[in-house]
Amino acid sequence: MKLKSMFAAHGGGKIDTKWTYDAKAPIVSPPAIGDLSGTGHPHIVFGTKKGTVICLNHEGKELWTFNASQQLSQVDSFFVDEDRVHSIDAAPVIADITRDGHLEILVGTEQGTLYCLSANGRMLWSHDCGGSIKASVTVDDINSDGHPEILVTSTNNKLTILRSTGEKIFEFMEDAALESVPGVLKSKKTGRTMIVFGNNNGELIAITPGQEIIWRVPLESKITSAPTFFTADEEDRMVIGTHAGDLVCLSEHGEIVWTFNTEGSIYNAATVADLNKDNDPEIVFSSCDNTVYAVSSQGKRVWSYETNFWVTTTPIVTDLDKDGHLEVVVGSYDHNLYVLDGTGTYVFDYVPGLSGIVNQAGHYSNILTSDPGEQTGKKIWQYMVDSIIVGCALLEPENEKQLIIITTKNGKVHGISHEED
Amino acid sequence: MAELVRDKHEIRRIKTYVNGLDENLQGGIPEGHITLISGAAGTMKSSLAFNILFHEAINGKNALYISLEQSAESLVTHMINLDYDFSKVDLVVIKDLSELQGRIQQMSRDKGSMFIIDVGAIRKEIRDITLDNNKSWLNVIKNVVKKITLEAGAKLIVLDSLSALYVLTRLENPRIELFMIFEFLRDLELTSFVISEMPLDGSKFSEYEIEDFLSDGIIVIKLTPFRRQVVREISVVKMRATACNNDIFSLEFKNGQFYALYGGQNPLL
Repeated sequence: MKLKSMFAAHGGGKIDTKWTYDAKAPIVSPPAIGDLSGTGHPHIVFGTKKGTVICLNHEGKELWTFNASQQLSQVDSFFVDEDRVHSIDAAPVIADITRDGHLEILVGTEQGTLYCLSANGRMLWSHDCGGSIKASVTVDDINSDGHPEILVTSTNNKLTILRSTGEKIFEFMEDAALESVPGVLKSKKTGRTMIVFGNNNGELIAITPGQEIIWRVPLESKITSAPTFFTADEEDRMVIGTHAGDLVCLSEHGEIVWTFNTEGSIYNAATVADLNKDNDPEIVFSSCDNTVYAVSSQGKRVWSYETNFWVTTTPIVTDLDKDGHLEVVVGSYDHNLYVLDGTGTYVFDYVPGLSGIVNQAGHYSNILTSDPGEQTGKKIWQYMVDSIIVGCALLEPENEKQLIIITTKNGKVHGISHEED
Repeated sequence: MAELVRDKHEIRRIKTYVNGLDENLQGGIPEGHITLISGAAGTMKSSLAFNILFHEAINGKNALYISLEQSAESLVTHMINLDYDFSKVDLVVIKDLSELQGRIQQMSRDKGSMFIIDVGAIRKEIRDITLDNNKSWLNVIKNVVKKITLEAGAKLIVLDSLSALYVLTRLENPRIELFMIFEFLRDLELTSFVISEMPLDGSKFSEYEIEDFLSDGIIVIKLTPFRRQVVREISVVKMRATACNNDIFSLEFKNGQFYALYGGQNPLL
């Protein structure tokens, strides 16, 4: 299918493809972005369903590949779903885990191996978690020893903490499979560090780096997203989505502050940003009720925008056209990339009588007692590609325009940028 | 992907080899259909399904019988006792997954091959292997079916039974997973017979009832007590793309052949 660009009704310029790369294998996860060479031109690293890790430069040129699939014995091969067995389901993570000034890449596989690769795609070490790795790892210095640790969840009910050299520090066992990205909260008030993660039984758990459970909160359905931390009313807060469609905001003590309900599963993390520059952050997230939501830090809907199919990508918040206003970028299963106005727009409701049609239900007193309209999502640009969009990331080269990098189910990677008319 | 037919005479059919029933099914079951054979214990569901595969193998087609609980020995002994002559087909019994590739390469070129996959024996062989999250018995069944279909050219399959499959695979979301299993069989263009154990009270044809909707046809066999005798009764509840007679026939097995006899609800009257 030919790619189509659509001009915006109220936005300057357009968005268009700068380049497209074909991985020739399905992709089910978002890309990771990092400046692997330290030149100011970040790279794109992603995994395919066939188990290949691919690194591209910012112009979409392939730099290296790494084969993360493992050979199986003849009998073992009968026990696996051959379409999935080599899959890389989660976005790689790029971080300087050795603190030597060079970035490393961490990527987990369906077969349960976490690989640490050098910037040029050479394997530094690997660790067998024993169960499929469905979520990205988290890198953080949880014990404040000056060396970052690696936190990885796996479907054999384990949260594993590794040193940057790949040695296991400890494993924390749960009663259910883990497919969520662990988060690390360092409390501003108490200085306490906690690791927060969800399980497939729908519980959100917070533990100390010493493996003590701080709290455990039942949220009713499977959790695969990462918690997103923010500050509201000078308190540390976190939001996390569930497969039941709830975005739940909790305090650092595990108390539920508010819940925002949607009609579809929430698969990925929310993004926190001050969209309207009122010094109070908004939370933007996507749901499988086909909708992108922006809610206030108090859990009130600010705006929402409905696409034509599920939205599972974590929203990107950026000023794509450099006009001083933030935009929200999401990819949808309807094959479209949407760039939305960060503040939305106000749409007036129909008022009986005022449009010239008098025989309508309603009463004139409604005008005095209800809002005349509501804030709603406003699309600035829409861009169609030829497959389901499974991931989005922002690439910001030095002295060049930002690129939105999208990965699609049919194995394509697109670099998309804003162009002036 | 199967091609669209333009005329009803283009629909190719597989006989049930039940005398009296095929005549009421426009000659048989359309190729590529998934048919649920539902009945309580002792209704000869497995024998009826085996009978179809056996006769198709005699006609030169390759077929696959997946037995999830009953051993291959027990099944073959039972069919021999019903006077089935296995010298007419190339019988291939698989009890060890590592043998499958070799047995496919050695299969007869002169006779139709009938593969019996003894999943119970395979389970015993590798019982010490721990299955982690991305390994499952459902994958084993799918991979074996795919391999025998693509490499041995199997055209028909019997899955015996759905109830055993549920115990073995512990479906988390039956509605979605059953849809995927049925679509998997359709994608391979196999004519499939899926055996479903029906409760004695006959209150439903299948465990989750979604199987009734997913399948293209349902053949029900019941045991009906009459005075101090018990008779088997067979009826075709549903058969897509077929003008079928939905009446209840009595089912009899005589001289190595199945018969559907028109007798109504109480055939002995």
